Amino acid sequence: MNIKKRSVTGILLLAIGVLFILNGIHRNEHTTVQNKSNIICLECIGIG
Amino acid sequence: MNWIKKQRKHLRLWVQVLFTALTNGYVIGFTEGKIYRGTSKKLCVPGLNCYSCPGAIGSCPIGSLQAVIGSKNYKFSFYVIGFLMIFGSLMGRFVCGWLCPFGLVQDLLHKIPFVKKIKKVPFDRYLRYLKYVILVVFVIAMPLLLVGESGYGSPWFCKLICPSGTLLGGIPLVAKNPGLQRAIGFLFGWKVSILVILLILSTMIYRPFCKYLCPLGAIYGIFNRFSLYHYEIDAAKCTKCGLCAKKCDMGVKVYENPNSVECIRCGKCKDVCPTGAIHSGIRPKTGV
Repeated sequence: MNIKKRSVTGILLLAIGVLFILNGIHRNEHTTVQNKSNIICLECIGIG
Repeated sequence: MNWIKKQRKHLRLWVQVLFTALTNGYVIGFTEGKIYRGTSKKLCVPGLNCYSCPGAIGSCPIGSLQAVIGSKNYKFSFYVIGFLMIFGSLMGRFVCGWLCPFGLVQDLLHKIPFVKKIKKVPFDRYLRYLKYVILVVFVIAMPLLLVGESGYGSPWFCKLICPSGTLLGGIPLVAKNPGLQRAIGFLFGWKVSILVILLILSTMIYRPFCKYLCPLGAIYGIFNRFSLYHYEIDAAKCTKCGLCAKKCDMGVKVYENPNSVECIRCGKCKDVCPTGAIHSGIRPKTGV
């Protein structure tokens, strides 16, 4: 992949990533992430 | 630039240590056996860093992805995939080589001398595909499809496999909490066994978890082909001597495929290249 194609693809993916995050915030997904991460995840540490 | 070139080996180690310290900077968590509960936890960190680590001030993208797609409200996570796309399109597997705490642990263990190092693992070529299977089965399919009566799926990768969660989250929390100590059972033993096996293997094989099992590495590896930060070979300078491939602990033939899905951008190939034919950056040959 030449440098121009790579730059365009990289920037495009970056932009899509930003849009995805904004859409995720609009859908309130960040609250789910925060709620899950603010309690000890018993499954993650091998208890639950 | 020359100083950076000479110090690259140590520079990477320092970046790994500093980034791990920075993203796990809630020291009270370790001393009191509790986790940080703040707004920064809604943000994903780039590496495999359990959000139940007592020091963690951000969230693990793999844990977060399972939490969102396993919840009854969502079956797709724009939010977490957005973070993965940003990290991936900027850096690809540079995250694995420079910013992941479990990568740092494996790097340090591999430095232990007097242990026979295994460069060629049997069935290596096929084992590398395991991480994609783990990504599809344990991170996506099982949390999405195996839903309980409550409507929520479990984070199966975290629950059954993730050694980073056991090391950074499970062991420090269990050590400080009598309540958790009473609750441990078969699952904890299973996870500790996986961790111990991987830690022992890490002394002999370079980064076995990253090579064969890590779903996050699998995702960032795909981005290596498109990421803004990348490697380039100067064809006029490259003599195809193979020194770069010989030096690469991840088994990449750098002179043939500098942006391989397995490359963690450690930079050892650049240091060893006798003609300086390997360049890295956003516009590598111009040094940007």
